[in-house]
Amino acid sequence: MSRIEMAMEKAARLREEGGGQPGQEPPPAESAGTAPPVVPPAQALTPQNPFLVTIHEPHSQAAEEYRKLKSVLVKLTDGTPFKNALMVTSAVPGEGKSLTALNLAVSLAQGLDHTVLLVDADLRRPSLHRYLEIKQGKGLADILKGEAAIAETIVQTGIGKLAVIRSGTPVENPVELFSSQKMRALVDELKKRYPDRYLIFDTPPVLPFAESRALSSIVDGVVFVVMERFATQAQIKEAFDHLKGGVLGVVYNAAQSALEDESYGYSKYYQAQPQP
Amino acid sequence: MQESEYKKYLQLIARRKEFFVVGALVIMTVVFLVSYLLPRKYESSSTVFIEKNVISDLVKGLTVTPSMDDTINVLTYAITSRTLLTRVVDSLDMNLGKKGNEELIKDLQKNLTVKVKEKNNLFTIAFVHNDPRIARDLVNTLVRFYIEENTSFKRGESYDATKFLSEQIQAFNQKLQKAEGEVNAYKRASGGVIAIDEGKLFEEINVAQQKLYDLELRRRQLEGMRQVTRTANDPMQARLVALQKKLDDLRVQYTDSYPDVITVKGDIESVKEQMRTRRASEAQPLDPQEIARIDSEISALRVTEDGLRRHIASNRELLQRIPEAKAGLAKLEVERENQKKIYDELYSRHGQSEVSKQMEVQDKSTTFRVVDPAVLPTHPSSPNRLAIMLLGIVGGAVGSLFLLVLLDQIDTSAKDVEFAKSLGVPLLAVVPRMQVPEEVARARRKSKGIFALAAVYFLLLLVFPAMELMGLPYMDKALDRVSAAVFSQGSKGLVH
Repeated sequence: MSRIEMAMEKAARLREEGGGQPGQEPPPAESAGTAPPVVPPAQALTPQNPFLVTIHEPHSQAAEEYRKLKSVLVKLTDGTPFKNALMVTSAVPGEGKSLTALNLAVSLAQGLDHTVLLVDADLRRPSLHRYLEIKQGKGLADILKGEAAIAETIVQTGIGKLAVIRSGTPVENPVELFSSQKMRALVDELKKRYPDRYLIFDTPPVLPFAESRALSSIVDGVVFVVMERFATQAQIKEAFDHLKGGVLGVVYNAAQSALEDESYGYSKYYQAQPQP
Repeated sequence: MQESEYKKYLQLIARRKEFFVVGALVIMTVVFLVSYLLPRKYESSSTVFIEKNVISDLVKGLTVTPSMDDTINVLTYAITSRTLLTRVVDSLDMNLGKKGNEELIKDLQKNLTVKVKEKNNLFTIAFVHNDPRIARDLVNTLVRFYIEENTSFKRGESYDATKFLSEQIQAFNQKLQKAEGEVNAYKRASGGVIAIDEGKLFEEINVAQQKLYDLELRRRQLEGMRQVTRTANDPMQARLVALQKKLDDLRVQYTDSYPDVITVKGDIESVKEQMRTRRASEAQPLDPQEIARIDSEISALRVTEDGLRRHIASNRELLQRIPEAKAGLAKLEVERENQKKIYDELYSRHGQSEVSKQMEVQDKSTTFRVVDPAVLPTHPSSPNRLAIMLLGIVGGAVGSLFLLVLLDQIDTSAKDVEFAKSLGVPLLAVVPRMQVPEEVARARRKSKGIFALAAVYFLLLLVFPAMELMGLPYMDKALDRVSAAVFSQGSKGLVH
């Protein structure tokens, strides 16, 4: 705890000092763990999950859509202040939050402009580490409990400039953790560490749990995932109300109709391209 | 709009083809089952031809045959009449173990259809029942009874007509005889009068009158001659007559003062004086023989005259009586004529009715010929399984689609991008459904399996309508066996 506090104080000091010059590089001594170290290609993660289309099928329609999402989000968040803290959520579980967050993060990280820190904020059912095929270890919960430093929780994936913070040790009271002042401080710190870094939080669904609501007031924007034929419209609207206008936009997921409507050969064309 | 609807349905089906196919098959199966479980009804029908015999055309006008149109008009009512049906029910023992014929007969009436083709003098009686045997027997019995009744009725009618006519003939014969007797009696009573010709009688009277006059004249003459005969022998008289004659002659030529005339006049005077004096003095000598002859002749004439007069009088009287007598006779004769006319008419009619009767008796007039007797129906007329099954096939598809639409309606989840757009925030991306190829392949295999099964099942289902189409009664037999088994099971259960 005390270390976190200390780190936060440090961060605050840093902010005060460096607020005037945002482009300035933070002192390397202060952030040994935060500086994105270059991961040798041999150690880069190679997750096999087929739904990570941005990795496996960069020319697929889905990947294209994630790229679209990326560019729209960049447009929306670009400016001063840089609204780089985003969270991905949905009304009910299983609408594809984690995959959306992951694909978005990978898409962003594959670009040249941004580093991305993906945070698994779903303490109840963490899934990012499974998708990325890394072991669970110290993560967000540990940071919030003050049992780990930010630096030691960040895992470099080697996929573009993507770093990940896992959910960490399972906790009993995620809501309390999220609504604590520490959370806000953490987000602030992570935000400010690198000006070109996107923070993407993968969160629990809105309706069953309160964490996302708490977090939505901290982050700069919410990406709301709606899966086709999943949650009812009433649920979605209710979730929307809970988020209180923080939603930047909607990602419409698992669109069957889109597949049918846009089956003008594009997807096949793009899919066919990388094969030979 | 229409196109999008159509597309929407297609998409619905495409999304859940397996559900659609299975749903359709389930609905089809249910409909097929229902088509088999619906109570079977058999229709049996008989066609009857109302035959007009050639003879009836030949003897047209001679006979009085019951009207065909009337028969046809009341046919439907006659056949479905309570009395007839009751008889049929009795003869078929359909009312055994049942209470109240009313219900049964109403039921029969409801299931009976009589169709009349007036043009062809054909009528068809059809009956629907769940027992084919009963359907057939009822129709046949009904037709038989109807024909029997109709024939016997017509026969009876003919008999009655003939009988009535003979009675009437007898009655009128008596009347006629009576009238004839009256006429004869009258004729006898006033026979002479009637036979006399008025003109002749009148002439006779006239002739008699003339004769009378002649006789009178003759008598007068004779009487006069008697006078003359008495004086004929008297010379003075003769002289007087001669003188008188001479005077008359002279007077033609001369006046009274002519001397000859005066002389003759004087002579006449003197003769007359002489005669006067002589008569007084002496009786004239008469010829008595002559006088007696004349007298007898006169009296004979008188008698004849009297006879004639009487004759005339009686004839006159007769002449007066003739019109009256003749009128009386005419009246009687008219009466007789009338009776006779009616009698003759009746008699000729009687002959006709005799022919009619004979025709009826020998079935030579209109006859009902059963063109097509009811046969045992092998296939139930209702339910029309083929139609139901075809309907079931179509209905299965439609119903399944309907179910899909219903489910889609019930499903209030976000169904399309439009909803995402309607939330009021930008739609950032539309990520297509991502599928793992193996899973897709597996799903495809699974759906292929389902489709194959469904196809096989559908073909199997098609066997039933095909069987219906070809009229194979296997299913009915099977159903009968099953129901029989169930029934026996039930009765066993009751026994135990």
